[in-house]
Amino acid sequence: MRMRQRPTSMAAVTLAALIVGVLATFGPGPAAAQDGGPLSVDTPASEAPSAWTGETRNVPDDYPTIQSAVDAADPGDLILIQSGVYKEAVAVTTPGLTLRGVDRNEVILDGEFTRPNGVFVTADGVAVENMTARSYTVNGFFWDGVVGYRGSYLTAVDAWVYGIYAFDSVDGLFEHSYASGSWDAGFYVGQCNPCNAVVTDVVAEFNGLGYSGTNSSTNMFIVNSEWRHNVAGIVPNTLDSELLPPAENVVVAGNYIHHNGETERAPNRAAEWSAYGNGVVLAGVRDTVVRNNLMVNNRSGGVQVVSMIDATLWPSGGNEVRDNVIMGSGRADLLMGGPAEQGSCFAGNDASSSVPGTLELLHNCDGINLPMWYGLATSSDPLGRIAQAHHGQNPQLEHGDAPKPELRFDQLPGGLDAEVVPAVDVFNSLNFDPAALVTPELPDGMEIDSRRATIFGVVLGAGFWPVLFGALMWWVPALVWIIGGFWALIKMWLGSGRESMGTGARAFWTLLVVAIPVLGVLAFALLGNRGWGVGRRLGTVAGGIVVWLAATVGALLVGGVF
Amino acid sequence: MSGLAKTCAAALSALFLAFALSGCGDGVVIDDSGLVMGMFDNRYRPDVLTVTVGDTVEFPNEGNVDHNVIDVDGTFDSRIERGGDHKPDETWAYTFTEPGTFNIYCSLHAVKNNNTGEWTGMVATITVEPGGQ
Ligand SMILES: [Cu+2]
Repeated sequence: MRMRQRPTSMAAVTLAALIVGVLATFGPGPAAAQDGGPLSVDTPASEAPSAWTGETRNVPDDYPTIQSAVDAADPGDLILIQSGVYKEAVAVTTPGLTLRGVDRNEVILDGEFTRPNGVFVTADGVAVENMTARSYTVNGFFWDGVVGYRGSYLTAVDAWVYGIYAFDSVDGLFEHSYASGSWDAGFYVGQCNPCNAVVTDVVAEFNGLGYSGTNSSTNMFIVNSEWRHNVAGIVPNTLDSELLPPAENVVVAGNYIHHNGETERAPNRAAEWSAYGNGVVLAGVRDTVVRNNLMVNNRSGGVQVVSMIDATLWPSGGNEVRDNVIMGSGRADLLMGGPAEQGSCFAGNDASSSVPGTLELLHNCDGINLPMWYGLATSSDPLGRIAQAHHGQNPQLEHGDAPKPELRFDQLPGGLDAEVVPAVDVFNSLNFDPAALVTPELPDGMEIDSRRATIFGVVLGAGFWPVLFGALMWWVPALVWIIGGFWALIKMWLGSGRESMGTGARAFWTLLVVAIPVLGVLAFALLGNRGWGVGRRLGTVAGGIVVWLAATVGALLVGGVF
Repeated sequence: MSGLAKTCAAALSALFLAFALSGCGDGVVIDDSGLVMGMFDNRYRPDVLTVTVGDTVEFPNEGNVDHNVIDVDGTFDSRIERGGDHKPDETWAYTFTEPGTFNIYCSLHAVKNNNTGEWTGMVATITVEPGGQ
């Protein structure tokens, strides 16, 4: 993912951040609670046969290449691949095939840094099992426009864009798999609604993002997996570059998400870098549940909820962050930022810090959930990261330079005797029970990082741009609220306002100044502070806004954010 | 409330509204001028276009990853002219000088069925009608 800003929308955003604070509504309720028991879905018709034909095509005994076996196969056949290095880019256009390696670690598809995709599937119901793809210039294992897909016991190393990827596809499963060395994401499910897809028991490391899900919605589960040493861990997001925005109704649960915020060993570009150091980022995502995850030692935050600015502004909202165990975060365990955040909530998290500091108190899923007024408190950081990337301050790796795993991964159980099952009605066959997802245990001996040096939510060591943006977009408005608030209260209760204002008016302005951050103070300075003439009032407020805007917009421009 | 203050309040309200409405997008914006075929992730949009001989069609990369434009019959290949794939925000244009039907694909996001010769994935069709009347 990558964000492209248009000046108009960006200017509107910054203006609005100051003047309006934030568009605040009580969002729709969070995704429906699970009642327990397996979830079943309506699956579109598949062109694949639901059972194996009994036919096995052996590579290389019967066919010298995987592609020649695939081309000869009938729908529902098994392609059985012996150990070896296959310098191929395999295209699968026949439905219901199962491609199976005899040894996950020794059946290796090699892109040699020149071929685009390891296995590229455009037919329904294709399962790919027990093999490794390395050094492809685009994707390792890729399903596009299919009904029914399954990737099991797969290893994707140095697939330059995505390791294991389903696009415009529904009814799928990625399981027991590993992906590293992709600048965008190790695992990616994009453009589907309802996705009816599960990503479970996978490991992603040394990627830009561990998981990215652009515009993938409804029955989209990322569960029971490990996400470590990526720039950021799990990032459901909304973008204008794919159909079906926004992303909504995603469930992120039961994951172990740790040590994200990799600087030297994970390739990335601007958008991945903008999510830097967070375990989970919900970027312009709605009605999504993040629960029962264990998040440890992520360099920035545990869970960060922000809006997404692409050609369109995609406000986040209605998300539920609940019952996670979060520790060792560099900036804060929980973060939520506007503008236009629409009623996301937090509850039951074992977390010790948040930005803003009142998240679980004022935005509680089970209690009060006030409209969001915090503007760019949290969002300044991703904007600062984009500026860093623009100025080349995100460490870059060449394709193939990420650390390599030892190829000693778990094998498909049963080996050659494992049942052959085309990927038909995949989701329902799982008997997937979301209620069974629980928080992972903290591994023994794990040392918990201490929080990085932070002033009022801004990490001082984050670098020039994040600190500058944090100061302009969070410290300044906060100071206006706090110091301006004191000034207004003194004015109206002790100073000149005493005579010109009745008690009712003073009570009204007090409430406004205290309860409506920044805006209340500005409104008082403009309309309530009758001790000053109109010109002086207008000059002060308009002048302040102009100076702030000039500084902020100037910084965003020089930072290359738009 | 003074006139100035009223004006100011009205301006603020307008900004607020403009901002609120800016959140109500509908995603991918497809150029319908008839001479632009956007490359999104991972599809051409629109994926069917009819033009006239002499027309120049633009292929801007509106996506977040690389793409390219290749004619199945080999009439043109954007990679040759560009020396590689189109990066995001880059554009490429081609002027059609012959009438006919051109089936195009992106080599990064489309595959060929070796039995039928048919391409699937990121593919599109451009029909070029004879010009001059
Ligand atoms: Cu493409």
